[in-house]
Amino acid sequence: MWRTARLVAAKDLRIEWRSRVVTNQVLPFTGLTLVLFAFALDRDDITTRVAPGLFWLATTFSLIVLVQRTFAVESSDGALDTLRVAGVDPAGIYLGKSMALAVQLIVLEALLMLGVIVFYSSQVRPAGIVLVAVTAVTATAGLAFVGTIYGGLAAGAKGRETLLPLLLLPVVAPVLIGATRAFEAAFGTREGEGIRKGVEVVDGWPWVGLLAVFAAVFGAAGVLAFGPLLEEA
Amino acid sequence: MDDAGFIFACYGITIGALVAYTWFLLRRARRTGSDVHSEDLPWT
Amino acid sequence: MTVTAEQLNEVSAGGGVASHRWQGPTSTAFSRGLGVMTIVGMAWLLAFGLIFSPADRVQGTSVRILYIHVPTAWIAYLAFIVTGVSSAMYLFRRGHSLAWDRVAGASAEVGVLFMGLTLITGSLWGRLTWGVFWEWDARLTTTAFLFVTYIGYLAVRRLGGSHHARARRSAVLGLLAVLEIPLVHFSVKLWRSLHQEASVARLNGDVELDGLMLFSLLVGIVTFTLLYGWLVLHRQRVMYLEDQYDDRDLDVALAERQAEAHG
Repeated sequence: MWRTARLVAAKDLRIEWRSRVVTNQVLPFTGLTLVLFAFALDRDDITTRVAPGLFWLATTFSLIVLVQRTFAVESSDGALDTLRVAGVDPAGIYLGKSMALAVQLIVLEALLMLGVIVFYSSQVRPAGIVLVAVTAVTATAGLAFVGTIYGGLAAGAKGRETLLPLLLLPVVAPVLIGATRAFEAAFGTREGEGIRKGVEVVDGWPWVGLLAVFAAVFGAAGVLAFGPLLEEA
Repeated sequence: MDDAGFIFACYGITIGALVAYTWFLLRRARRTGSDVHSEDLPWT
Repeated sequence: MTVTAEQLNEVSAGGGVASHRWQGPTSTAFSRGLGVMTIVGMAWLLAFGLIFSPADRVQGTSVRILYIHVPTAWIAYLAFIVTGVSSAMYLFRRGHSLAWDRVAGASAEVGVLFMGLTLITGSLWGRLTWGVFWEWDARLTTTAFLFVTYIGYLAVRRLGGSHHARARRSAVLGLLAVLEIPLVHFSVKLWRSLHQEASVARLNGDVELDGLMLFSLLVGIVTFTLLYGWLVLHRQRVMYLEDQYDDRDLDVALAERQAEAHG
């Protein structure tokens, strides 16, 4: 299973490296959402205060596009069907696609972090750097796992792609809640004051726990569910 | 009864929605059912 | 596609399914009995809810809304539990009987209906008691999430493909939804606990009722449960009929194709 996963992940990333669709299309879209938020919210002190929320909102919206892309590369040649018929372990396919998606998400988040620091004047408290890193990893894992399952469900034939946001957005709510609260705890001024009154860096860790549970639950569910989902008729 | 407007709205909307759903469901049953009348249905 | 009086007569004359004009093809003696009990129950609910039960000392007459709101909420949750269980039954039992899939789908549709009513009546009740139509507390927010999630479930059911493909897809989604709801509820609860001041002063939906008020509530719950049963029964029968209809279409098309090949 893990060997399949690694092969599938490498394949997906190689496709991306060669076509550069994510770098050329999705990342600019993500940056654009940051700018649009600023237009809509209008006040600098507000955008700084809600920067963690905007960060994860932008990530969530970009997730939808990334998931659609991840399954679009398969459906054009019926590749998923070929893999399935060839007897490749569906759990391996699932993990591989999730890993590739997670890598793309991390790259996207790194860019977003830069964007948020530049556009919203966000600062990370020195004590919060580890929190930011761990939050990003667990949240990304959760998003990648959940995105791959629902992407598999909504992928393929006409009329299905529009279903993806409707299915995916409610499910990622816990990640949105948890990751934002954790970032809120980690962000602040360099002197150590938080952007949210009375919140200390250490308050962020319980939310990381929530994110970890989410990732574990959906990772396991995906490994089990991906097989039945791939079977068509 | 005070707040009568809200209360009647609640009861009205609820019963109205349920009656409407039931009506359309039975109508749908009648339409599809007329076509398969020759089959033996598992519940009869 | 309309049914004319002649067609109905033809069906009756041929000893078809509907032997009386007012009976539909999905009726049975059991479902008719259930239906009658439901109607009686509704009459009782109206009588007790609106007339016989007293107004609450604290809340006033707005408590009458609870006789509708609490039962619809209870039925909505029941419906989704049934969908989850049926989904599991379909996936994990060896026969993979489509009957489980039909029950799951029917229950989800009725559940969405009741969930919508819960949100509307709850909103109106909230306006009366708290002065606002909406509150971001854990229960309401989870309810709204459940509503959207199952609308998504119903949309997935309509994606087409073979009956079993539909069943498999929906069953997986149904079970994922069961996983997701506690997670969402828990996250929202943790989230709102950061805003403590809001919840302390508010009256929530857990009002203490006794005597005639409690009785009215029970009448509501029992009646709506009967109605739920009746609706799911008919809805999954209609689904069976529609599946048969689709299969017939498929058979006809196959037969035509074969005739072309040989002709």
